[in-house]
Order: sequence, then structure tokens, then C-alpha cells
Amino acid sequence: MNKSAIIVDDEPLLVEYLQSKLQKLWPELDIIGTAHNGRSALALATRAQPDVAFLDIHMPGLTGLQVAASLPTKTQIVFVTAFDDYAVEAFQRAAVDYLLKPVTDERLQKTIEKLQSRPAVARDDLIALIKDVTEGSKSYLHWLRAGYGDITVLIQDSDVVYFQSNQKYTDVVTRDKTYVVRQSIKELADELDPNAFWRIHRGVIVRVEQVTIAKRDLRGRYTLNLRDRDEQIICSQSYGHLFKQM
Amino acid sequence: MNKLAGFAYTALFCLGIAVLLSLLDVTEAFSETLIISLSIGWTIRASLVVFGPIVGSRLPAYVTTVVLTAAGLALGLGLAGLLNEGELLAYFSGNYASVILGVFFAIVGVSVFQAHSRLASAKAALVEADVVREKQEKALLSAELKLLQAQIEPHFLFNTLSNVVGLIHVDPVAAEKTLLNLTMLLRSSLNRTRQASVTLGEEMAIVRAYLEIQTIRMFDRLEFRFEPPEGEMTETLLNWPLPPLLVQPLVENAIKHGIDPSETGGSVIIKTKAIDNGIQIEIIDTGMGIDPNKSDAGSTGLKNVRGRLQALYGTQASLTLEDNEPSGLKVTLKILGDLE
Repeated sequence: MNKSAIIVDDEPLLVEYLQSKLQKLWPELDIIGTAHNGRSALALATRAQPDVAFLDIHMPGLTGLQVAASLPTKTQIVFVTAFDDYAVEAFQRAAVDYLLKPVTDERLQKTIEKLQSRPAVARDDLIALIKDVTEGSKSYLHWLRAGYGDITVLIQDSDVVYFQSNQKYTDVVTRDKTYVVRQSIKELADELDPNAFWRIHRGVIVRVEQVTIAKRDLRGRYTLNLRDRDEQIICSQSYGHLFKQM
Repeated sequence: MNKLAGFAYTALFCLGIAVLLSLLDVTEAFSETLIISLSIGWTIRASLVVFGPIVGSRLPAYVTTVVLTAAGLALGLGLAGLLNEGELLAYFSGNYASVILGVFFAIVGVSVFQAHSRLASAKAALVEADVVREKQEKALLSAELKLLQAQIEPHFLFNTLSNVVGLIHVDPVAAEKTLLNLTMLLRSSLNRTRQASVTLGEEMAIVRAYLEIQTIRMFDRLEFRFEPPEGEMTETLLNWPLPPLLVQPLVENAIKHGIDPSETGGSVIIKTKAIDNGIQIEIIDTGMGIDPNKSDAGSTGLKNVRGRLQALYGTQASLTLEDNEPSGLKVTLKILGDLE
């Protein structure tokens, strides 16, 4: 029986191109549908139960990797990507097939031969692989929606010099301005990257990169000089251990 | 340490005075003269070191110096009287020769030492200014290096080439146009990093080339327009000097993180206008916008643009990000004055 396939890529031209190549090199393959984003790809695959899925990795909505994890178990997967060092390495390790764009006839021929002879990679292996590729991205707060007068702007975490508690809210101090975010300093402390931001006082969080000099006084408090601001800020005794080694 | 050195130099100065006065036969015993001169020298030095910072914060510098010198002088003469004659006011009676000599050398000494310390602090300030300048230059250099590395994103390049390959047989004209656009983009990014400044018109041409390539890739998911269109921009705007690759990375961010991740896509508008003594460029997209809890998407590009703005314009330039209504992001770039 002839095999069936779907092609998924957010770039319409590339779908057409791969389709025409496949028709030429593997005329018996029945291309039963194409899709331009992850979600419609999943819907298509569930409906059509294809034997093979050519999946682009970078797509809006769900990525090719996410789609792969939810495909019918009988579907063999070939990832198609323009440039993904880390993913390609993982595919090689797990013996999952992949194509690099632009696709050459020779390379596509090899993939076709593999698909005709070999069974699909076990789903568990595939899911482990996808986890492997997508992992390591625990996310912290990188953007702040902050008020300045009556406008709201977006501030990048790397522009912050320090945060200063201001009643229920928090002042965001940058090189040249002070903004307000509607979050308490405690909430912020939980969401910020602890490697980049240190709480140094009940009411102050500083971006570590900004601290140029930490001077200890007799009571064990540290006075901190900042790179982009002239004022000094105080690190209270209970957070003093942060600067011990400096 | 510095303060100790100050006292040592003062002692040397006082020794010199004692030797001079003895050689000139102005005074009788060398040891007596040395005690007077040292007492006065050190009390003046001590009074300036100890009380200088306290009084200095309230009074002008020259008043502080005069008052503290006079006090130190009186104290020193008293001390010398005690040491030499066993009487506090020994030198405040008779012919006042010691007082007159004391005042004269105090004035000479304090002037010399103050001039010296002023020179030293001026030198220190100069060194500090050098350090600051060096730091700024380093920041600029590193921003430029990062820019160079970030310019041609492999993913973009290979995807574009794949599209060209796909187009060659079906639509050779579009394939040609795309290759020409890619060529322009590559050439400009290679040339312009070595160039200090381009015009807004040139930058807009690059932005257009980039957007046309992206339209080929994303097809009906991307729309863009310039307001005003390049053809209707004033000469002043078109010839406005800018550092290279300032606007293009912002447009690239709008596509990469705003429009491309959206299933339905969206539009990008590039608005340019002259403002009072400057220029304003807005890049408005209707894409995904920023989810503060999720992404640090585009942060490298933005950091880079911001770093170069800061290094080149200081406070004369600003980069502001706002939510766009009903969706997406609005980036506003304002530059006052000319590029140096």
C-alpha cells in the first residue's frame, strides 16, 4: 500500500517546493495535506492519520517539536529546518531523520529510502528527545510594564539599576528615570532572575552588574556605589553575606 | 598615608626655614628656631587636616584656609613658647619678630602646599576623565562587535536561500528580486559596520530590502508600510545622519518576535518625522507584543541599539517601548542633534 504524508511549514513557498520534489522523487507517496502552522498541522494529522510528517521546527503557535510530540504513534517524523545546531545534534543522537533547507535531491533521496525501509522511532524516545532539545529555559521576568507619568512603557530588565519599594508598589530606577510598577518588591523578588538581581535590603533590589564598590561600615552594613547612578544605596546587615567575598 | 606624608613634607619645609634663618643670622640658636618652625608648621597642618573637612563644608575654601592657618599659627607659637621658654605667650611680647616671621612663612608654606595639592587633584581628575572616556569607548566597541556578530542570522539567511531555490522555476522574477534584496542587505551590513554614519534614506532602503524578503517568506502573514513613503520624505529627513544599522535591528525584532510567532501575522509601520531639533522614528507592529513573564525575546538586539545610542548620543537619544493598541509593540526612537 502507498504511504501517505503531510507537509508542515509556515513558509508557503517551501511547502510547495518540498511537495514538488517529493512528487518527483517518490511518486507513490500520497501527499494528503499541507499546513502552515502548528495547530492546523495537529488538526490535519489527527484527521488524516498520515504515515509520514515533514515538520518545520520554527513555526508560529506550536513549534514542529511540540507538534511531533502529539502526532499519532504510527506517523514517522522528518524534521525540516533551516539552521538549528543544537536540534540537529539531538536528532543525530536519537536517529530521528531531518532535512536541512534548502533541500537537495540527494539528501531527500536518502530520507525517502529510510522512510521506505525503517519503522518509526519509538514515541517515548521522541518525547525524551524533544524534552532534551527544548529544555533549559526556566524563564524569569525580563520585561516590566511600568508607569511614567500617565504613559505605560516596557522596560527591559537589563536597563534597571535598582528597585526601591514605594508603599504597595515599586519604583524602578534606570540610568536617567524612575518608573513605577504595580507590584510589591516581594513579588518582584520572586520573579526576577536571582543571578542577575540581589535583594540587599527589605525595600531594595539591585542589579548585580550595577554594583561597582561595596564598602562595609562598623555596623556590618555595606554602602554600594552604582555604575549608572550617582547615589549610593545601603545593603542591610542581614543581606551583608552577599558581598563578603567581594 | 597621604596625611603622614603631608606632615613629613611640612617637617622638611620647616627644617629648610630654620636652616635658612640660621644661615642668614636672623635668629640666634638653630635648635630654638627649628622648634618654633616645626611647632608652627605641624599645628597649621594638623588644624587643616582635622578641622578642614568640618569647617570646609560650611565656609568657602579660602576663608577656611585663612581661619585655620591663623589658628594653627597662634597655637604653634604658643606651643613653641612653652617648649623653649616655659611660657605660653613668650613669643607674643617684645619685638614680635617670631610672629612676623611665622606669619610670613605660614603664608608661603600654605600657599605652596595648597598649590601642590590642587595640582595633584587636577591630575587625578584628568586620569579619572581618561578612565571614563576609555570606558565609553570600550562600551561602544563591544556594542559594535556584538552587532557585527549578530548581523547575518544563519536561520534567516538559509531560509531566504531556500525560498529563492523554491522560486527559481515558478517565479524567476521574484527569485531575482529576492536575491538582489539579500545582496543589498548583506553588502550593507558588511560595509556599514566600518562606516561611522549613514543617512536615514539609506537605512530605509535596507529596511525595505529586509521587509521585502520577509514578505516572500511569510507571504500573506506580513504587511508593511512606511509613513510617509520614502518617495515623500523631505530632503532633510532623507539626509539625516544616523549610525548604521540602528533602525533595521528594531524592525527585525518586530518581525522576529512580533509578527512571525503569530499564526495570523500582522503589519509593521515605520513612521519617521522631524521633531524640534531632531528626528523621531516609530516602529509599530500588530504582532504578539511582549509577555513580561515569558520572553527575553529581542533583548540582545535592543541592548545593542541602546548601548550604541548611549555611547554616541548620551542623553540626547532615547528608545522607548510601549504596548500598541490593540496588540503588538510600539518602539519609539528619538534623536536630538547631529551625530558627532
